[in-house]
Amino acid sequence: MPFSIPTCPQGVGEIVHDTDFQDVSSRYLGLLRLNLSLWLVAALAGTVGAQALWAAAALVPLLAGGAAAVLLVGLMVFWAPRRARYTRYRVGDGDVRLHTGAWWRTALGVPTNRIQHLEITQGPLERRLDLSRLALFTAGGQGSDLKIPGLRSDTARALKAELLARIAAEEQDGEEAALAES
Amino acid sequence: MRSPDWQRVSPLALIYFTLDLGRKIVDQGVNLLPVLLGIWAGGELVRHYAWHYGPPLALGGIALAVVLRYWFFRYRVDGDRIHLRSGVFKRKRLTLEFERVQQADVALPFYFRPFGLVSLGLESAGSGRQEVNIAGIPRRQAEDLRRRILARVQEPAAGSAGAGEGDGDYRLTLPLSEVLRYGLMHNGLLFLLPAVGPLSRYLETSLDWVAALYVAPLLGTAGDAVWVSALLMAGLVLGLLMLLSGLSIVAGLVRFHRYQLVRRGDGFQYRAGLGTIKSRGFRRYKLQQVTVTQGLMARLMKRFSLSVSKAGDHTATPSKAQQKFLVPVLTARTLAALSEQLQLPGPRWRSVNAVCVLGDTLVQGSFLALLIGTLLLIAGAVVWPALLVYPAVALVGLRRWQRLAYHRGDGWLALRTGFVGRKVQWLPEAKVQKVAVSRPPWLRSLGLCHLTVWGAAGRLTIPFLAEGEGARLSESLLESVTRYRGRWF
Repeated sequence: MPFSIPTCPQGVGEIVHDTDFQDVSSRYLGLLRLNLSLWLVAALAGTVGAQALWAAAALVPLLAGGAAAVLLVGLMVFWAPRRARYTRYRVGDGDVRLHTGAWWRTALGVPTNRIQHLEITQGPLERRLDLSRLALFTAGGQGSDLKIPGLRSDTARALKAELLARIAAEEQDGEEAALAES
Repeated sequence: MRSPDWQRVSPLALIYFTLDLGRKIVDQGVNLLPVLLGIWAGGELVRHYAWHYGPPLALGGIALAVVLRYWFFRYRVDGDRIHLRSGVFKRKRLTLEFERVQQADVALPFYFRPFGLVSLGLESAGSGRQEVNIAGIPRRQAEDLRRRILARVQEPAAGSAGAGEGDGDYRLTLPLSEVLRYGLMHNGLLFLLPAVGPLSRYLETSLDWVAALYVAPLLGTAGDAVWVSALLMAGLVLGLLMLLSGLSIVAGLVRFHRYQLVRRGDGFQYRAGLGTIKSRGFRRYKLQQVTVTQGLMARLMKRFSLSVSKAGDHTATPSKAQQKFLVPVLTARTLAALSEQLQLPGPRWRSVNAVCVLGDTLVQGSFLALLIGTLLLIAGAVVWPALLVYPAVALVGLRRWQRLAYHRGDGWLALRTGFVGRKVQWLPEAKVQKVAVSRPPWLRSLGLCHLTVWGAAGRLTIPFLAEGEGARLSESLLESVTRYRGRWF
C-alpha cells in the first residue's frame, strides 16, 4: 500500500456520526482500478494508432496520450483508494444512507418508505469480481435514486431482501394506522 | 368474448380524432421527410403521380385512419376502474384504477358544446405515467365519473379531510382585468425577439430605403436620413413588442377567461377558458410542490402566479407543462388567502453564508473578465477595463444572495430565489424522496455544504449552508419523512 488507511474516515463523521456505517467490499478498489486500466489501455492504443497513421511527425497525439496516461495512473494511485475508502453505507431503521466521494464528498439519504423499487445491476467487470450495485429508486425522478456500488453479490441480494421485507412491514403498518384513524 | 358494456364515444368525437391525428402529424412531421425526399428524388414520373394523386390519397388515408381509430376506441367503467381499448393494428388495452388517478379534467371544446358533450382527461402518476383522454361523452356522465373518481381518491384520507370541511368553502374569481395581466406577466413570445436579430441587416437596408424614399421627402430632409431610419427601427421594435404582448394577452385570455377556483374540503378545483372551458382538480394530499413566481413585469404590476405540482410533473415535456394546476394572477392579498387555504405557513426566512457572493464573483467574474479582455485584446484596445466586470458581478451576486433564503418549519421546506423577480418553492416535508449533503473541497475548507432535497415534483438546492446546519436539516427531514405514516401520493 502506498499510504496508510485511517481507521475512521475523516470528514465524513462531521456530517453524520457514522460509527455504524458499513464498508463496501474490499474488491471495490480493484474494480475502480480495473475500470481505469481499461481507459488506460484505450488511451495507449489510441496513441499507438495515431502514431502509426501519421508516422513520427505526430507530436500532439503523443503528448495527449502521455498526459492521459499520467492522469489515469494518478487516479489509480491516489483517487481510487480514497474513493473506495469513503464509500460507506448504512441501512438504518427508517432510511438508507450512503457516503461517497474522494474529494467531492456527498452524504445521501433515502427514507425506506419512499422507495418505489429496487434493482441489482452487474456490469461485465463486476461479474468477474462477483460484485453488484444495489439501486434504490424513489418517485423523485432524475437523480433521485441511490446506488450503492461495490457490494458483494450475496450482500446486495441480502440487502435487497431485507429492504423489501421492511417496506412490506411498513406498508402494513401504514394501512393499519390509516384504518385506526378512520 | 366482448363484454356487453363496452361503450363507444359519440360520432362527434370524429372531430376530436381528426384534430388529434393532425397534431400527431405536425409533431412527428419530421419522420415524413424521408418519404417526401424519396418522392422528390424519384424522377419526373414519380413527382407527377405524387403531385396529382398524393394529396387526395393522403386525405383519404387520414380520413380512414380517423374513422378506424374512432371505431376501435371503446371504454368501460366497472366498479373502481376504467378500461380502455384503442388502436387499429397495434391494439392497446388499458386499465386505470380510480385510486391512482392524479388529476381529472373535464374540457368543453367549442365543437362539443352545442351537443352537451365533453372530453374527460385522466392522468395517473408513478413510473408508468399514463394519460387518458375520452372525448365525446355526455357531460353528465363525465361529471359523474369524475365525481366518483375524486371521491374514491379521497376516501382513504377521509379522516383528515373532515377537519377541512369545517373551514367552509373558499372561492377565488378572477375578473377580466386580472386575466389580461397574465399575458403581460408571462410573455413566452418575447423569446422570439432575438430570432429577429439575423433579419436586422435586411431590415436596416430596407428601412434606409423607406426612410430615403418616403419619410425624408415628407420631412424635407433630403440627404442624410440616418436618424430617420434609426427612429423607424425603434418604432418597428416597439411595434413588434406590442404585437407580441397583444398575442400573449390573447393566449392568456383563451386559457384563463372567467377563471374560478373553488375549495371544498381538501379538494381544489378550477374552471376557466374561452373556447374550450377546462376544469381541473386535485386533492390536497396529492400536492407535491407549490411554486410562487413573480417576474419583472409581475413585480411592476404587484402580482404573483402560483402553481401546484403533482407527482411526476418534473418529467412532463414543455408542451405538457400546461397541465399543472395554475392560479395565473394573484395580488398580495389573494395570495395570502390562498396560501392559508393550502396550509402554507408564514415563512421565517434564513439567509445562507455570504461566501456565496464571493464564489459567484470569482467564477462568473473571471470568466467574463477573461472573455471581455480577450475581445479587447483582439480589437487592439486597452485591456484593463475588463476588470470592471468584477464589481458589477459582485453587485449582482450581492443582490442574488440577499434574495436567496430558506425556510424550514411547520411541515414545509421553502426556498426563495431571484434577482429582479422572485420565486418561492414550497416542498411539504412529508413528501421528501431523497436528501443529499454535498461538500466540494473548497467548501469543506470553509466548513460549508450544499443541501439538495428531492420531492416527487422536482428538487430544491439550498447552497452555502454551515456544515452543522446542513447536517441538522438533512437529519431532521429524513426523520420526519420516516415518521410520517399518512398517504403521500
